[in-house]
Amino acid sequence: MMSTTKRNALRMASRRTFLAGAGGIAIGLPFLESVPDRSAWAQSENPRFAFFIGTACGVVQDNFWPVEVGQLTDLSSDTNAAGALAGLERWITFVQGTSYPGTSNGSSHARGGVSMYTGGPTDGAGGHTAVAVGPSIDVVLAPYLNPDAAAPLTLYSGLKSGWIDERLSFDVDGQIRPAEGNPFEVYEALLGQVPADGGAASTDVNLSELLVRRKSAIDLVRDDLQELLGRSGIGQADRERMELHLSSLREIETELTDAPVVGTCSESSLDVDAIVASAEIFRSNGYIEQVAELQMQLAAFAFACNIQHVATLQIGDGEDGTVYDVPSNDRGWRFHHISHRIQSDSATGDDPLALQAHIEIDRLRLETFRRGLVKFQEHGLLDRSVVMWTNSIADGPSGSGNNLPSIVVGNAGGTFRTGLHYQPSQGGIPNSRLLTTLAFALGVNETVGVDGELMTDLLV
Amino acid sequence: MIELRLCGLALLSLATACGGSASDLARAQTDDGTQRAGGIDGGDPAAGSAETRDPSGMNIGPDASGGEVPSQQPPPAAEPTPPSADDAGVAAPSGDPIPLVLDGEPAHHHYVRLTHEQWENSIRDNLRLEAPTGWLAELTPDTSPRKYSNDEARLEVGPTLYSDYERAAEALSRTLAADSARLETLYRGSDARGFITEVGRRFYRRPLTEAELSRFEHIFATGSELASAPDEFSGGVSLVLEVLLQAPHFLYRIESTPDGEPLSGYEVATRLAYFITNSTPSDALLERAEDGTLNTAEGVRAAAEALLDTPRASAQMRRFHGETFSFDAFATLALDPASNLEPSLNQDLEEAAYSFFDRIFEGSFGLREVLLTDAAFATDSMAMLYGLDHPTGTGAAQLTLGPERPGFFTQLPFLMLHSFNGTRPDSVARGVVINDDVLCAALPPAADESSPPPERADATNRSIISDETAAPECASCHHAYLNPLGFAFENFDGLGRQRAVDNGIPVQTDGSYPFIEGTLDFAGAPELMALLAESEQAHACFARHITEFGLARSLSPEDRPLVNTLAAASRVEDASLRDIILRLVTSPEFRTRRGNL
Repeated sequence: MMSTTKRNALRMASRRTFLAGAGGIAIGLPFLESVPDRSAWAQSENPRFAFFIGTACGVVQDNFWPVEVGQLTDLSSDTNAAGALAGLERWITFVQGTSYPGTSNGSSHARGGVSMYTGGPTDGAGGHTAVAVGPSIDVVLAPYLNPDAAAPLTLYSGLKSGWIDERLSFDVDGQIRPAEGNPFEVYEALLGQVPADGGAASTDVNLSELLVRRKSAIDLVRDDLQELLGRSGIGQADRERMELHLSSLREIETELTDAPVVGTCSESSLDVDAIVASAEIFRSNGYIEQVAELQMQLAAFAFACNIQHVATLQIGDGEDGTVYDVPSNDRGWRFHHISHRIQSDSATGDDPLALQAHIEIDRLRLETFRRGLVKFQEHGLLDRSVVMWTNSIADGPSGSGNNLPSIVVGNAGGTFRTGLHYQPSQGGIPNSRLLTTLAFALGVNETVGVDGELMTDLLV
Repeated sequence: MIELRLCGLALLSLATACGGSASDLARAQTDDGTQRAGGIDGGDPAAGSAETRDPSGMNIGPDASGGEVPSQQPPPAAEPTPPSADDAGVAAPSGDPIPLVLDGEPAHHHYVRLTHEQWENSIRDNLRLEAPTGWLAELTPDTSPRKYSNDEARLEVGPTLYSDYERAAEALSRTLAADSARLETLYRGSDARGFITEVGRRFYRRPLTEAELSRFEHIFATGSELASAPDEFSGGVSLVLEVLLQAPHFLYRIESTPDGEPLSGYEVATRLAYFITNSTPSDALLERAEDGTLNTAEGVRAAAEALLDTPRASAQMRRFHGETFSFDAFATLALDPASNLEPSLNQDLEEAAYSFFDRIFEGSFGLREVLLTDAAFATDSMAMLYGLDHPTGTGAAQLTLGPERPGFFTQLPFLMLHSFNGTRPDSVARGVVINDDVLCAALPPAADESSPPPERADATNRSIISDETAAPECASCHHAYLNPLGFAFENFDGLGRQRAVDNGIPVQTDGSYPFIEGTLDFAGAPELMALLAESEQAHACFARHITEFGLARSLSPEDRPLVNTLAAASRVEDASLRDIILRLVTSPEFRTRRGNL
C-alpha cells in the first residue's frame, strides 16, 4: 500500500521543497510574474475550444450514470459516480448508447484507445499495436479551431509501461501522435509561447462589457429578491422560492466574481508548486489522477492564453500496471486486474471486492474530472468549449465497446445541448456520430470516423 | 399522461394501493362489471359534511347520493367503511359514491413564476415580436406534479433555469438593440426615462416606482457608455432590456395586496391576462387598471369579455382542454402499421380534438354540449372510420354523427387515443378518463403502466378485462368504478369504429356507476353521456377544472363555495364555458387575496 504521506506528496510539495529535493537538477523556474492577468483572446473572435479525455479499463455501468434520465437537475444526492460532478449540472450532458464500429483482433484496451476519438476501426498486426485508419477528432478540429491551425496539444497521465502507451491522438494517416506526460514540460512549453503582453488583445472590450452587463443584472435581481424576501406577510413557501432564486443567483455570481481569471490568461489558476514537483514523479505509480488534474489545468491555461484551442489527455492505457489507492483495494491489485475482477490480465472473474474497488475508482476519476473542469469554468471557457470524457472500453470484465461512458461538458458556444442525461438506447449508435456532432457544434462540418450522421437531439 | 389502472397485469401496484375490505372482496368476487357495484347510502353521513351542500343548492359531497336505486344484485354483505379524514382525496370504499375532493394545499401565492409559455408570450408582446424568440425550447423544463402547467407548485428558478434566462436575456437584448426599426416600434422617443417608463411598465405589469425608474436610468447610462454600443440610446436600451428580462418583477406574478383585501387593478389585470390569454396584460388592459376600471366586478367582466374574443383566448382554451384530457398523448400514439392508416392521422386526431373544443368555447357552449353534441370534426380518413362522407376533402371539417355518438367521448380522437395502438380498445383507460377527468372521482394511485390484456379466442374484451381485474385488490376499484365506465364504449373498437360483436360475440355496453346522486344504470355510451350531462358530479368536476386552471393552483376546502356556484351555473343554467369563466373572474375569490394560502 502506498502511504498517505506519499499519496499527498505531490499536492503538498512546494516549489521550495521541490528545489531542495531536486538536488541540483537543472530545472529553472520560469519567471511567472511575466504572465499578466489579461484576456488572451478577443470575445469578438468567438473562439471555440475542444478538449478530449480518454481513460481506461471501463466503468461499472450500473454505478456510473446518473440515476435519473432526462434533464439533469441535482446530482448532489446521486450515489453513482456521476454524483461527483454535482454543481456542474447545467454544463453537462451524459450520452449513453454509443459503441465502437465493428471488431478486430487484439487487446480491447488498445483498440478502444484507437476508436475512442477516431470513431473508426483499427489497423495494425498485433492487438497492442493497433493504430488508426484515420485522424482523431483533435486532428480534424485543429485546422479550424487552433490559432494558425497549429497541431493540437497532446497530453498524457500514467506510467507508460511500453506495452500500449499513448494511443488516443492520431494524425491524418492514422499514426500515433506522441503525448507529453510531464506536466512541468508542458508548463514550460506553454510559457514559452505566451506573448510578452500575455497575448492580450487590447481591444478586447467585449469581455469587460460582458462582466459589466452581467453585474448590472445580478445587482438588480439580488436587490429585488432581497426586497421580496423581506416583505411581511408572505408565506414560508414563497420565501423559500425567493431563497432558491437567490441561491441560484449566487451560484452564477460566484462564477463571475470569485474567479479572478475568468477569460484571462493567468498562471494564477495553475497549481505551480505541484506542476514543478510533478517533474519527478509523473511516471511513478500512485499519481495518475493528480497528474491528470494538473494536465487539465494546463489545457485550460493553454486555451485561455490563446496558445491552443484543441487538446487531448490520455489517462493510462489499461495495461500499464497502475494501482489505485481506494478503500476497497487494500490488496493493492492493479487496476487492470480490478477491472477483470480477478488477478489476471486475460481471464475474467467476479471478485466482489474488485467490483467495489472499481466503483470507487470511477468515482475518484470523475472527482478528478470535476476539479479540472472547475479550472475551465474559472477561465470562462465552458460556454465556448466541449470537454469530453470517455473510456477506451465500456465495461471492465467484458471488454465491451458497447454503451461507452461518454460525458460532454460545455455548450460549444450555445450550440450543444447541456444539462441532460441522454439515453436514446443502451448501445449501437456509432461513437463517430457523437464525435461528428461535437465537431458540428463547434462549427466544423467534417465527419469524424465512419458515420457522419448527426445526433440532432443534442444540438440546439 | 393518464394513469392507467389495469389490475391483474399490475397486481403489486394495486394490491398496495387499492387495499380492499372484506366487503370489497365479497363484491368483487361477484361483480363482472355489468352489475351494480356499490351501496346506495353514500357512506357515512358524517362524511357528508356541511361543505357538500351550499346555498347554491349543489350537492357534490358523499351525503348527496339521494334515494335508493333499484338494485340488480344483493347489496353488499357488509357495510362499507366510511372514509376517514386521513383518506381524504384518496379513495372512498369500494362501491360508494366518491365525492369531489378539494384537498389542495397551494403554497405560493404572492410570488408565482411565469410558465415558460407565459414567459415566451410576454416577451413577444412586450417587445412587439411577430416571430417566436427561439428561446422557449432552451428553457429547462418544469416538472409540474399537477394537472395544469400553470400550477404554482413547481414554478421555481434553479441554477440551470437562471442561466437559461441569463443567456436568453443577453441574446435577445443585443439583437433587439441592433435593430433600429424594431427599436422604433418599441418606443418612438429617444429619451431614457421615457423608454424606461413605457417599456418598464410592460415588463413589471405596473408603473415603476420612482426608485425603480432611477435605478434603471443608472443602468441605461451604464449601457450607453459601453464601447460596443452602436449609439448611446441603443446601448442603454440593450442593457435595460437585458436586466428587465431577468428581473423578478417580470419573471414572477407578484401580488403585494394584504390578505383578505381586494387585489389592485394591476394585479387583477395580470391574473386576467395570464388566465385568459396566457400572456402579459396589454397596454389597454394596464390602462383599465390604472383608471380603476378593474376595481369593480363590472369592469373586470368587460375586460374579460374583450380578452375572451381574442385568438389568444382560443389558444389558451386549447391549452386548458389539452391539459385536462392529456392531449399531449396524441404525439406518442403509435397506431398499428397494419391498420394502413395515413401517418398523418395522429395530427388529424389531435386537431379534430382541439377543433371540437374550439367549437365549445367559441360557440359559447358548455359541458352539456361536450357530452351530448353530435357535432364532430374529421378529415377524410377519419370520416371513413365514422362511415361518413367527408364534406370538403381538405382539413378537418364539421360533421354530424347521429345519436349513437353523443359528445366528445364517443368520437375518434378519444376512442383511438385510449386504445392499444388502434388494435384493441383500452377500456380501462377510457374508464379512467371518465372517472378521473369527467367525474373527478379520486381513486388510489394507479399502476404505473398499462399493457394490453391477454387475448382469448372465445372471449370478449370485456370479459377478459373483468377476469383480469377480478382479484380482490383490483376489483375494489375496477369493478366498481373504472370498468363499467370503460365498458360503455365496448361498441367502439380500437380505431373508434362502431361494432356489434367482439370476437364473434355480441358486445355488452351496459353497466352502472355510483354517482353521488346514487348508483345509476346505463345501457351504453349514449345513456352514460346523458347521465353525465345531468350529473352534479360531472358539472362540479368541470367547475373544479376551470377554477384550478383559472386560479393557477390546486383547490382547498375554502374554494368549495366557488366551485359549487360555478357547477350550479353549469348544470342548472347550462352556462357556457365562456360564461363560467366570466363568473369565475368576477368572483370575490378571483379578485381578492383569500388568506395566505
